[in-house]
Amino acid sequence: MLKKKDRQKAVNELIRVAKKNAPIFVSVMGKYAILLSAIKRWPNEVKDTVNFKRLSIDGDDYNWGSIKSSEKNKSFCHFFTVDELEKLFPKNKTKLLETVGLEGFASAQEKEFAELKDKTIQKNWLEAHNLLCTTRTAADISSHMLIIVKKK
Amino acid sequence: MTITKIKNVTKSVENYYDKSTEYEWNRLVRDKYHKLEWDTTQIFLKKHLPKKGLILDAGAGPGRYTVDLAKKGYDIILLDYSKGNVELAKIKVKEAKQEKKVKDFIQGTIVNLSQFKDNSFDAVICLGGPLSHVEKKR
Repeated sequence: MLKKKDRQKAVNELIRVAKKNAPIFVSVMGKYAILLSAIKRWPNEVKDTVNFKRLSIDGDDYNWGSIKSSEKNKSFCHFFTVDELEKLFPKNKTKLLETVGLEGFASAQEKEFAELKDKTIQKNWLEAHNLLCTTRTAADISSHMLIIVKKK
Repeated sequence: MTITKIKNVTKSVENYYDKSTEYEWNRLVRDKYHKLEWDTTQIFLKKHLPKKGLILDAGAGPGRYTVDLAKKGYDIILLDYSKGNVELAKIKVKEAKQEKKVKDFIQGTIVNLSQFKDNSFDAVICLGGPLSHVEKKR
């Protein structure tokens, strides 16, 4: 079972073992990126009423991995929002430095981005990505979001 | 190099990653899209990491960040809950000739880091989504 208290326990441990002023980097998978591409990429997941409701509301996916591998090999995954990720880091113990969308606005265009050949499009896109990746929207819709905090 | 095994590793995630170690090693360089995750993370590691020190790579997978940071001069302790990932990391570190920089390989969970004292590391990284797979032991 996926339990919020265990994620909190893990974050508390990462903070505990860090020295004072040490940076802590945590990247996780984002929930809204899944929703942005779900109908196009994973229609069968959306058809699964119970799991999809749990995924879209709570971020919990108990069919994770069944797409790229066999049913036997499937596992589970919790998909985050930025709010949820930030709340795991207590303000009295850590200082938030940055929240970053690692794929940012490319998250809804995975195939197109992966297959990009035009150098100018690539260059212009990356320039925009590097400028925008620390905006809250870019982080929230990203396939992976990174939080960087400093231990107080 | 030794591998320290911690007892309370959960099984379904461990099994999943045990079966996809090579996939995980290649994931961040598979194509331009996946490389964007790697490249963007690198920008922020460079910006915020201290110039030197001991880093805990918690949920390290097969060690792509460990190898890269070791090459940059950091000392690393690698921890992952998949035995397969830890074994592959050991191979990748050896291939990269970074055995001296990687101080330990630990199979364990990020929920319990009791093998480490408080205030042990100059930086802690937990990258690629280990926190998305934290599971209550069944």
